[in-house]
Amino acid sequence: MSVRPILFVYKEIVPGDLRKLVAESNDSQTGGGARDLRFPAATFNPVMHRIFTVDGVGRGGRPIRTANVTYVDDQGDERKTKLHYWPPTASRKTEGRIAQVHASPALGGQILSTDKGRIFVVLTKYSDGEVRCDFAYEDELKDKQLWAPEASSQIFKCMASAAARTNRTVQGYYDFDEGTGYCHAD
Amino acid sequence: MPTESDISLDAKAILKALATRKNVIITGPPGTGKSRLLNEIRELFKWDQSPNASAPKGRYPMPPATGPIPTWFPSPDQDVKREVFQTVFDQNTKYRDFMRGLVPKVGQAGAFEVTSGTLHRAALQAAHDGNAALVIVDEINRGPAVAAFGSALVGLESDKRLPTDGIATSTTQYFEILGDHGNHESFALPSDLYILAAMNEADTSVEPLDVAFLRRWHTYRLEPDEGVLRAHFGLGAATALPDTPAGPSDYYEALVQAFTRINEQILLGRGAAYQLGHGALMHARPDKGNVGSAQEYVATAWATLRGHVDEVFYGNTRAISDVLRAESGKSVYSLKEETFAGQTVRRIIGPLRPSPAELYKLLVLIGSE
Repeated sequence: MSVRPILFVYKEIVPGDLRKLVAESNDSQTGGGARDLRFPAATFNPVMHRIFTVDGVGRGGRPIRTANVTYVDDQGDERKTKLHYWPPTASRKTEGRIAQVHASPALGGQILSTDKGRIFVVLTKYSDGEVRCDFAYEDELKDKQLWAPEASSQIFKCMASAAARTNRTVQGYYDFDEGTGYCHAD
Repeated sequence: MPTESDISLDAKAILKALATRKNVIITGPPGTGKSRLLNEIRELFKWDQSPNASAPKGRYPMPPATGPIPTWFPSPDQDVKREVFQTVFDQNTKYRDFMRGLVPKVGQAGAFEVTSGTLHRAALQAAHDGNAALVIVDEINRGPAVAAFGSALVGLESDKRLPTDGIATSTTQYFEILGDHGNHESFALPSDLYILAAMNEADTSVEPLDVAFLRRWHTYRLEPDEGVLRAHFGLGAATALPDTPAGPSDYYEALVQAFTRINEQILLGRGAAYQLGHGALMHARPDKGNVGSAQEYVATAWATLRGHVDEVFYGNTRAISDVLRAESGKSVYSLKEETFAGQTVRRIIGPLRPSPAELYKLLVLIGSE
């Protein structure tokens, strides 16, 4: 049987995230500037743990999860790199995070197109256990030759939900086997 | 994108027939699945990208599942644009609606324009290399089909078509149509154009189709299928029924057996075209765990069955009496003979809407005798 996607997580890259990716500070006036992609831990942790399956130890001896992900570099070649998923901290009790995104060739190392609409980070897990890290562009998601509607429709539905509610980031996941999805803006 | 195993046997047979004959008519009584089949073939012919995600391809982690068009498909090599054009014939359908003709130009008194009908537009689309077109004509015999095809009739058969490369063969059949400016021009139907039609052969408001027209089509007949009905109700093979129903499945079993027997009688009395398809009794999802719901379902289905029997045997009280077992002495219905104007008149006596118990007994009686 051929390889197929079984799970994917998506998160919109907003202007603050873009600065994190290129190792600038974030937009917040309240300090910080941590170069992490943050997810609501309560709902995303179980899913992230299916993607980040390897136990590891982070700085300060904290238990983290890692994943050896595949990404496509600027030349179109597939490469591997490790991403780290950190549990909530004492100061941010409700957020899990993919850390040090600026230092990752799969994230900060990518040159993003700014003329294809909104941008999303997509982590996809396949039936053979492989995990991919990609960027998805709004304009390309509309192309049924490039993105299966089964996947793109999840992001579009979440965009619609987020549009109906103020200040909600488009982020969610979809389980292909269960046929169930979650949008944080719902 | 569907895989070959997703394609129903009926759809596969019709697509294969289209590939070789170009023109197919699906016939069958109402409720045998003609419209369902048309819809299935409409989607298959286009061979669109699947909604299902597949393995990564280049920069795209979840592209649609893709696969080549099966080699037995109509025009499997034409994969640039595969389009479906749909129309329904009625008594008012004209050649100008289907091919070309003159119609008044809206807003310009005294001016006319040349139409481009469904078949004409499909033919133009299919004439380009890389393209294929399917014209679906539902209820083809509800309108003047021969007149609607007009001169195009001579170019319908596969050997009369213009090949994909646009170079006519010795058998390509040209015919004259109106050009865009009202001039006359020669036209031939392209090889990558397919026509799929559907019709009830026997109904009140249908028009006869002549033999010269029909011989240009491959006919694919659908028949009532008890098996589909059994699957719908979750029933196995036919079983003997108790005098008193033990549960919902007994009601459904009685309905299926009566349906099969009534269709056998219609076949004898009127012919296959007048039978009733299984789909007519699949009006809702049956509740298999609730007797009251089963009784309601069966009562609704019976109303459909009885209405069909009354229609196909209209004026033939003897036949209806036979179907309802009115002379058996065991039926809820009976045949009463009276005299009117010096003549013997027969009429069927019985409840307009039988109770659940009466209906069950009646269905068992019809199905078993």
